[in-house]
Amino acid sequence: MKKIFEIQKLELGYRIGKQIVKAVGPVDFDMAEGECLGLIGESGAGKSTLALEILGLLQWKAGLRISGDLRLYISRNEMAYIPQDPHAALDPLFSIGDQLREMARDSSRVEKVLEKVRLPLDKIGLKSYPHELSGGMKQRVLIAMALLRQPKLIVADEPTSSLDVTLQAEIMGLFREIQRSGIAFLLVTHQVPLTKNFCQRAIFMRSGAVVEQGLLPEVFKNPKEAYTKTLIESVPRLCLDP
Amino acid sequence: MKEDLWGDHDILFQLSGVSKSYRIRQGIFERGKEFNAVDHVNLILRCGQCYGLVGESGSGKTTLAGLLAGFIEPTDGIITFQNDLLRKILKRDPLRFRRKVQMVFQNPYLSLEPRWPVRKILDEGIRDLGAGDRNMRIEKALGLVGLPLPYLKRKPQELSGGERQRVAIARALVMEPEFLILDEPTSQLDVSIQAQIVALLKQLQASLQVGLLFISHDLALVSQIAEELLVFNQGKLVEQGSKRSVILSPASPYTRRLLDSIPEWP
Amino acid sequence: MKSKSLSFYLAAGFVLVLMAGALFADWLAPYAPQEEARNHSYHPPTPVHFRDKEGHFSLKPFVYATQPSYDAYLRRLYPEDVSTKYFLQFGWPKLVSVDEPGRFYLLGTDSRGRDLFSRILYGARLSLSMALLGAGLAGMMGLLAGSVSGYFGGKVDALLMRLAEFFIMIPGLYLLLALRSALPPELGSKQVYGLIVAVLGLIGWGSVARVIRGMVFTIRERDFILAAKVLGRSDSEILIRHIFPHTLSYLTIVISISVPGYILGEAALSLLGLGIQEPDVSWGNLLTESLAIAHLRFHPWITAPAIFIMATSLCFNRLGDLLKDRSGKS
Repeated sequence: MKKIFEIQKLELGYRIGKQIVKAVGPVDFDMAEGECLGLIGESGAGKSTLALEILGLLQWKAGLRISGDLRLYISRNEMAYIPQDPHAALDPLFSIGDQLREMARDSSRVEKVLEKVRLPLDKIGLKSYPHELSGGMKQRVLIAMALLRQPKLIVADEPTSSLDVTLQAEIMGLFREIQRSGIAFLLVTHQVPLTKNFCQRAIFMRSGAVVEQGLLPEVFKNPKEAYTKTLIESVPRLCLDP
Repeated sequence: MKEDLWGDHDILFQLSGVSKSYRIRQGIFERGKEFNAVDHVNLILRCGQCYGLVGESGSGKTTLAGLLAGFIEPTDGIITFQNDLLRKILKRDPLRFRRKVQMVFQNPYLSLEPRWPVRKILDEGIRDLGAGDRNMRIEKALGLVGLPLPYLKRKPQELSGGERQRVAIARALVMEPEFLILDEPTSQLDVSIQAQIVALLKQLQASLQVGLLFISHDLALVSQIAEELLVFNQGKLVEQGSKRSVILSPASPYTRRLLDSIPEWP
Repeated sequence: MKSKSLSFYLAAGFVLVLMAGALFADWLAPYAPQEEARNHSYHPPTPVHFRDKEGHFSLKPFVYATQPSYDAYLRRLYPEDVSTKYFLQFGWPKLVSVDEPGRFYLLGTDSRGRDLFSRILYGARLSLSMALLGAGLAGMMGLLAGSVSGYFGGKVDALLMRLAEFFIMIPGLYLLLALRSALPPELGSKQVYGLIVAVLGLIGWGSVARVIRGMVFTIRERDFILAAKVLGRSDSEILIRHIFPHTLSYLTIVISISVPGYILGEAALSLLGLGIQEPDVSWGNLLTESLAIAHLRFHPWITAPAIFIMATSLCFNRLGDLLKDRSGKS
């Protein structure tokens, strides 16, 4: 099985004032082509930092690699990013058509991709502006932009946390379809249940370190570490008893 | 905690045809569209009961919390508290209402004065009482939320999100209320802390016999603590009933959609 | 970041030194502000020597006496008489003094032979205090109006803001002139002082009120304000205990930045003869002599008060800027 990347003893940090504060590391793990990997952790665990470094975007957030190795087997052009806040990710001055065409190598694919993400083109034309779209529609536009790059890897950072619960299921369904066509997915989230029936493997992080990794759904049934266990048990289940 | 002369299930709040509408300005010259944050809601809340209010963003749940807590005035309809018009109570004897109904807000980073020590924060509601009484209530409330006494000297800036939210709950408990409104009290907190806070609330409800209104967008979370469920959609109360009946046989298609979107777990 | 702290300390240091100078003028100023020496009219700054004509070095600085005389064009000259050295004395009752007929004019003299440096120090008392009081008054009034306006909104807000706009609209200098001319010319200096401070405050409160109002708009929506309401606190309690402290950082900045305006306002008035009058000294009326071009050409030290006004304004501005930068971060 071909690999996408290999991470060895990676340490990442942020520059605050004169000091460098370590946020992640040392961390070791790999990712294979076509795989769906869940990067699970609470706030401050370092999962977003790690995702940004894989994408090569960490430096834009005033972060840096302190030490370690990130070996990439695909080029960064074959990676796509779906950021957390859809409202902040689209430029309000340009129509979505313009922004989509900017991403695509040939603009004929734009309409096809929009159909794939099920953006209602009859209601929302290519000439509309981001402020005319709802949160869920904006997220679909961002997914379309990711697909237009014909990526081998899509990194999605908390893709549904600013959306309503009812939209969440639809977006995750869309992700499943995309993943079936062979694109690898790195899902960064704090919501453990999202990874179920989607990710094949999960990595649990806490305070910058990898606490546990394993295949799903085995890890959910038999977590080895106490922290993983707490995390899994804290997920609220629908409770019928008073 | 309080002398309940009329029995446990008497009516606390009654809302009849309550609406709250806002006008959104479109431009300098346009009058703008009116929209109903809360749309003709009829609701009865009883003493000592645990209610869960579920709604997505824009459903009006925070506006409803404000209406019940008395800092938002309805544009239509009547709100009564213990069979008196809430509007009149707030004008004539607001403290009487405040001592009975308290609120915990969503964002623990914004609901506490960042530069006040915890003691001052807890003291704010009871400043007109005698010093001995105040100290006793403050220490008791701190104990109820599981924080040790030295925390009285600390400031919110030094506390974690979960600790701040505990302080916010203690601040409400200091008033010795009969009813607590909690507006998304855990949505800004980590999942593991969320579970702790919910456990704390359940414990408080059992030991203090205080009524709760737990508001959230997470139906599974709400089901952990509520006995009765209220479902809001775009300002309207679309479903109300006991937890079992709403979850097992929902009447409204929106409730069904909410139930379907809960990701499978475990 | 390091240079920012340096600027701050320099600016703050200058302001503090100036205030100390004004406060301790009796000790720091070599001469009394009204002490005249008609034979030393327009005397240039006295050169201080450490080495005499023969090249002998002396640790103690000294000055020579000067003889008033005229040159071919009837301009005044003050050649030094090198026969006797007069050593500077330090300590008490004056920081720097020298025996007669030696004179220590740090910044020269004016037409009546009065030491300019001493007069500047004494003048700082009036100029600085008026500027600070005026800025403080405008700040307090603006804080009150802006907080009430922003917190209550509605008609109160509309009324207060129209009032504020009215006062912003009035050109301050002309208001000052108009008020001054409406009152009798022989107004005692204490009354003139009070009048100037009051009017400065009246002109300035409007813009402060507007910004405070904007701040209060954002603050009053915050959850801790709602929490205070739910806890049963009255509006006045919320204003005093919550809202005012949050506007304080802005207030210190705005007072800092507006002080130069008030210094200049007072200076302009006194320069025109409508503010502080003789025999009282302020930086403004010290500049009246510099209005004539001849004085600028032949006795340029006469403009020294302007340098002080500039330096003080710069420092207050810098302080305000730096406070603003710092508050943005915290």
